[in-house]
Amino acid sequence: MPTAHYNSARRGFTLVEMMVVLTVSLLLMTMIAPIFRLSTRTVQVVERKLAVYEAARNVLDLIESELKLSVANERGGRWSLKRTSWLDTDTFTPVSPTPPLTPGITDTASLAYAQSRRFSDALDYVRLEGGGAGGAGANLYTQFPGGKSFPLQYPCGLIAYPEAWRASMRSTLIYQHKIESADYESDNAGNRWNRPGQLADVSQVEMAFVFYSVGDQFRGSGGNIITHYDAIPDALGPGKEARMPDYYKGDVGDNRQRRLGQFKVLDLAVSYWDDTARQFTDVPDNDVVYFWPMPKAVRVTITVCDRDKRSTVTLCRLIHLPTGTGPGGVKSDAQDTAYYTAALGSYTPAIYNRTKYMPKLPASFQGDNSFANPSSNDMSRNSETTTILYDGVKPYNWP
Amino acid sequence: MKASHFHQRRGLTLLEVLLAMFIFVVGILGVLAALPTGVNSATWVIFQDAAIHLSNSKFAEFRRDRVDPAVDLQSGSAYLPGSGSYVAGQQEPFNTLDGAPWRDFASVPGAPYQYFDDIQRYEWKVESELVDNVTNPGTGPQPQNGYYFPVVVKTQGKLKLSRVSVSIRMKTTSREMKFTQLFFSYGKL
Repeated sequence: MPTAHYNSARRGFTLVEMMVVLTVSLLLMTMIAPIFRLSTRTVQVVERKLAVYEAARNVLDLIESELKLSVANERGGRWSLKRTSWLDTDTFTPVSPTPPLTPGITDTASLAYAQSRRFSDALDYVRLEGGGAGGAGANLYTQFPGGKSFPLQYPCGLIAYPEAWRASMRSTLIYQHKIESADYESDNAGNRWNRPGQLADVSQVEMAFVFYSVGDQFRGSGGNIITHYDAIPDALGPGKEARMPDYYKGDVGDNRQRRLGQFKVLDLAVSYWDDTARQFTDVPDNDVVYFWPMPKAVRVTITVCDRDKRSTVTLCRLIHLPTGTGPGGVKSDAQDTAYYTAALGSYTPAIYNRTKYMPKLPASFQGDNSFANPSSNDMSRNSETTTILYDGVKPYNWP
Repeated sequence: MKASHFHQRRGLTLLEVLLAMFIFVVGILGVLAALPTGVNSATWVIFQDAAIHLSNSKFAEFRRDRVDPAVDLQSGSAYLPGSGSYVAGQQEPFNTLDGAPWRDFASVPGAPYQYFDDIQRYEWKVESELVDNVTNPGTGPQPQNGYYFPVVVKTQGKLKLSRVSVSIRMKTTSREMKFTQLFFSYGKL
């Protein structure tokens, strides 16, 4: 009886019913599945794109607000652009187009950033910002009028008359960082990702701001001014840019140098405004140009990818330089091989707006006398000098 | 007896099952319908990001070129042509898709916006109006109450403080953002 009751009172579907239901279900799922898959993929793609757009905007906002503060001192001290580029080995980046897009060739298809060539520029400038006169501690709180809050502004706590910062916006492909060993993403030796490592994983290429205090312009004792640090070729002169600080300190305790870093950008390219040609122009690869006066505007182009390397975006921003009045033209008919005009002596300003091929610059301009004491003066280091100038900035060559 | 009992506690009919499936499908479609909303929101934010870049860049161009908004930012001026081809150093003419007052961003090789992803999707327009001073009211908008405003030198007339607005729009959509800055006309250098 129980069996009979079960079979009769609660029978299941018939085979036909089941097959009909299954068939209809299958048809519906077949119709819905692609829609669902497409929708999900679309959401993922848009979210990845959103992430890189947000990152790019944050970086470009910071770059714009920073570069608007850039100035050159009254004798034409450095406002310079360096251009290097490197061939990355990351399979994430698109392969080179055919025919190869060699530097200098007109980029008719706008593929310059959609390939395995990584732009790694450096813009060195002077940034007026200080605490004004006063005691050591007071300077921490009396910032330059109109300045920003820490960490975007860096107080000079130990310097009585802070005047300016030698500042540099650069890619970590041109200047690698050596930082504290406990810092994030450094190896056991305290080294940042080295250049081959960054080129193998382009998501690790960074952009950073480096600030090195010009500090006390009026060095001396008892009120006797014996050195004026605006004088070329001292602290602000060409070739004296803060290239590779000996080490970084991430706290306020060290008042001489600061770094804002870890902005992950594949490309950092800065073009200057040529007022005669009426267009933005790139500095040739492996060259540096010291501008005087500063150009009226620059165009900063960056490529950003997300950490998982699923999406990229290349964006540019045109930035007006409020104190830039120069025509921006570069004398390309002849290159200089020195930071200074050697025939006129090292205390004569360089020939401005002229390209200088970095690997060919003479050894006599390896950053003042910093060989003897790399922790002073312009803070250059032998290793950095070797990398950049002696072994040469590795020119980008298409295979 | 068996038949009677069967009718009292029968299973679901085909119609019932199909109805349940219909409701299920409607639910699934409802979930799917929500996805485009999220995509639209993300796309809107992406557009906002792009618009901020592009408007800032346009303002930078105007300041770089030391424009006099009352002259140079009037459509048809040498700086802001209404027709013709793009000329380096000038602003773009009206585009062909939407026409006046919308302009494309110059992205041909060598042009300022060559390297800006999806730049062809965006267009822009500029509006400029003189902000009259308090003692010399005119047709333009008045400064806000308490707004810091330079002392008027009556013999020089208006101070030529202009309110310049740049609008960025995603083509073929209603997505549009407007940015405004104040410009003094301080002449060419």
